[in-house]
Amino acid sequence: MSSFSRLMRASVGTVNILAAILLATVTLLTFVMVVLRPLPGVHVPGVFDLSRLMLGVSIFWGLAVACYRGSHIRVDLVYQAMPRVVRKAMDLIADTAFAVFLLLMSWNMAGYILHEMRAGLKTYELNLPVWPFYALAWLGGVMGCAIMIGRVTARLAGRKLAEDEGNPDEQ
Amino acid sequence: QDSQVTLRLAHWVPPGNTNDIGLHIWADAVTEASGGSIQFQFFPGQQLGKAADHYNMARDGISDLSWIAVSYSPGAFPIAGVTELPFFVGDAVAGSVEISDWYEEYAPTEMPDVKFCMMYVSTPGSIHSTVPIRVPDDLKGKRVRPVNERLSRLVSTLGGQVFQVTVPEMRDGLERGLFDTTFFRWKSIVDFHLTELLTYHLDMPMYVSHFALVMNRSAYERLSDDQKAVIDDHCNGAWAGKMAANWAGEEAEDGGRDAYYGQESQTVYAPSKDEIRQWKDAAAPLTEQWISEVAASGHTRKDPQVVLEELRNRLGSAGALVED
Amino acid sequence: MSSDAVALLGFAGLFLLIAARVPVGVALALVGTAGFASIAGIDPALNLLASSPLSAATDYSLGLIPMFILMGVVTSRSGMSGELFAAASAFLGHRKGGLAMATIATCGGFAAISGSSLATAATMSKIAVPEMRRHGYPDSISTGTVAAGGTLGILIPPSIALSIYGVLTEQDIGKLFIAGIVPGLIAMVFYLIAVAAYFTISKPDVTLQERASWSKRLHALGGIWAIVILFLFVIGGIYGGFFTPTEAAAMGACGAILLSLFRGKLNLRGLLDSLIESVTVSAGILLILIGAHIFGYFLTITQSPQKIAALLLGLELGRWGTMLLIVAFLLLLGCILDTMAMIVLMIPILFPVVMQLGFDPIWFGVIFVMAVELGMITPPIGINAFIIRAMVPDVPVQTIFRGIFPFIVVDILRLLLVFFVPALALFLPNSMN
Ligand code: NA
Ligand code: NA
Repeated sequence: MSSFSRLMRASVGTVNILAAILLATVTLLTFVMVVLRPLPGVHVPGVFDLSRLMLGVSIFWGLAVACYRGSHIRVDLVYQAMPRVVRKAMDLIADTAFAVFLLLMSWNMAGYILHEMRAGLKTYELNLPVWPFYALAWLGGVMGCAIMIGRVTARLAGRKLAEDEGNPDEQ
Repeated sequence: QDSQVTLRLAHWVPPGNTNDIGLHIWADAVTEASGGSIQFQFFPGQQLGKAADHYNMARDGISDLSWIAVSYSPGAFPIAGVTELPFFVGDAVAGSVEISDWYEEYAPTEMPDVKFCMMYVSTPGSIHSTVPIRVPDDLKGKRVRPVNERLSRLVSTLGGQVFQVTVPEMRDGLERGLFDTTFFRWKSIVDFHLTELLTYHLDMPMYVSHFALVMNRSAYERLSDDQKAVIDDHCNGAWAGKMAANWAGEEAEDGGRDAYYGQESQTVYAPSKDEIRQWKDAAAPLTEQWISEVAASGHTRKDPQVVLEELRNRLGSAGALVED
Repeated sequence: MSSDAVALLGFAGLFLLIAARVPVGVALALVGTAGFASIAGIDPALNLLASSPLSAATDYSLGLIPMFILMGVVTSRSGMSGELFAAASAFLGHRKGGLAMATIATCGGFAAISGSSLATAATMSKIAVPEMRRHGYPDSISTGTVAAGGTLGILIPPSIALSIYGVLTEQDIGKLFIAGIVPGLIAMVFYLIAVAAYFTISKPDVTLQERASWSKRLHALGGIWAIVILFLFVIGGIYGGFFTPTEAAAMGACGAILLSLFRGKLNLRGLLDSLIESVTVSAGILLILIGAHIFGYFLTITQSPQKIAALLLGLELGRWGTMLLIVAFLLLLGCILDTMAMIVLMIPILFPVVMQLGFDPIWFGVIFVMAVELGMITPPIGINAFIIRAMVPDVPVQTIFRGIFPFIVVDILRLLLVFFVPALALFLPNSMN
């Protein structure tokens, strides 16, 4: 295992857990808010914006994890009917398309977030700046991008990837 | 002969909404003045992006023109956000003319990525609720749907809970008692069929909603000089006043404030001078906050206090200030 | 090039990329960006690619998706679906086709907790298929039953498909959920009838389970109270107006976690794994939504939805004629498109037409989801069949599709029933509050 893949595996593991904790936090926060609602005067301020931004971060990180595992919704109909050689070519095309998408997205998103940072957009009530959340989400996209580029490189070098065995349409 | 251009105009209210009609009137006037060389393609109802993204869409060229709600981007346009100060603008039409012209000076630094066209405000809205509310203290413990970030802070200061809910979810939220109070324009209550739920009304000109029309810079630069002149002729305070008049006129026709008086099912409360004073005192810190925010933003070199006074004087001489 | 030609080219490119096994969301996003660029310019298109993902991922109304998925994952991990199947088999296992019937009943029960058809199908193929095989059920009917039963997941609330319909059309998600209940129950009954019909007609040679004694049955029922409580809590909460659908999702997820912890069926490791699985699955759904948004903006800018609407209305088939045509079109499209892609691609095009024809938006949501659901089990692209193939790799896809056939027949009957008797969907939501 190369040091790059070791680094990737370790960071995906961490990101995985952080994303899970964010989801747990938002779920719990919403739960507590509902349970406390009948009590007068109890109010958790700014939960609406905080929840949606935290979930956004969590989901972008989940995207990186999904890239690592190669688990994305895809259609295998043609793929399964093809001989091995064609399949290998299709794998390369699909991964390259994914890498291109993430590269374009992350690159342009960086500029977009810088704009938002300068514009000074804030959340309601808590008055938190929005851009740090966007930047955290962006990190997930960048990580996914690195993973996909790593996969394309591995394919070009003729290395085999674990999830190529089966696993159609996993969701 | 100018070359033909088609501009994409994006907004987020449904087709047929008064503001959609107003924008069509504006667009038709531009087309006519350009001798047909400037045409518009409308993208209503968030077709090209979410309501809150409309400024960025015009900036980024996703749309050529965007109609934006200034309060949907809290923190981004502090100078323009002056109209969010409670008990300030009292007349939609005269006020819009002044606000739009006044803002011309600040738009290049505060909205540097777009060509600012115009800005206009609604008739004053107020507090409507399922339970009686008369003085600031009554907001304590209420769950309030806010209308902008500034009034959210007021609600929090007064011990109310801010409850964010989108307009389509309002009916549900009120029926289920998830919230009980909202800032709303009088006409909106009728528009969204909430008259039998929101039966208590506080008759005081508390706030105005605030919209702007902005244009993508390169879309503007691509136009011929004649075409630019046509756009410039239609981007000014006079047109802002017309847009507001179209909107306010519809308000006056039905569903305006007066229609609520004398209705058995509705309780309208007109606060006394002293009670209005209580509200204004409660809201006073918001002006201080506005001043420090503008100072911090660096969007103008002027003293924010002066910026505010300029607008106040303009509104005052146009008779568009809320009376003291 | 005219914008119509660009739109057509876009669709062609989309299908090509999807066929090349590019993830559906990525294909949508790439083609959408390219198409948008060809009309509005490259910079605006790249800006769209930058802003849409953030906008979609931080939309509050989508928050319910990961939380409803979490509820389903936790219940499934803590073995509650296995208990459901045990209870259903205790009651039905001794009949001809009883295990298949028990599978349908279990799918219905699990659907009441899980919002995803795939989760239902995946979970049930692990639990029910081995059991049916042991009793000599042909592979076709056992996998077909699970594939069809899985589709109950998106009709019986909670439902990811109905949530997304609600988000895209700005309809009340709570009402949509409640509207799915009766058609979902009808689906279950019809599936049971289909199983009975299959076993009467083709008489496969299967061994029957021993008839369970009543004490055994009652004991098995004891295992499923948790699911009943959870469903009543979540859906009752929405129906009774105690919380919004997003809040219901959080309540349901926390409820499922607390129940599972309390019953000793979940430890912290299991909880963490459930959370991780939910995040990953949600990310997969979000990727498709992001792509769909971008592709949708591309379609919008070509004005094709309006043109198709004008075309449809111009046929002058009358209100019901046009509607019938739309449903037929959806069924056809469902044969080749994936569920999420169907919703996000077709709703912007069809919803305005349906509204102009004056149909009820909640009713159309149910009809739409039923058509989509059929698409999940129809060849050549029936995602439920694929997921089962992944879980039971030694059964060819053709065999699964053969087993699905009887269910397709009753699905069409049910679609017609709800189509011509809208009250079946609308009675409950209209009685809310
Ligand atoms: Na369900
Ligand atoms: Na299909």
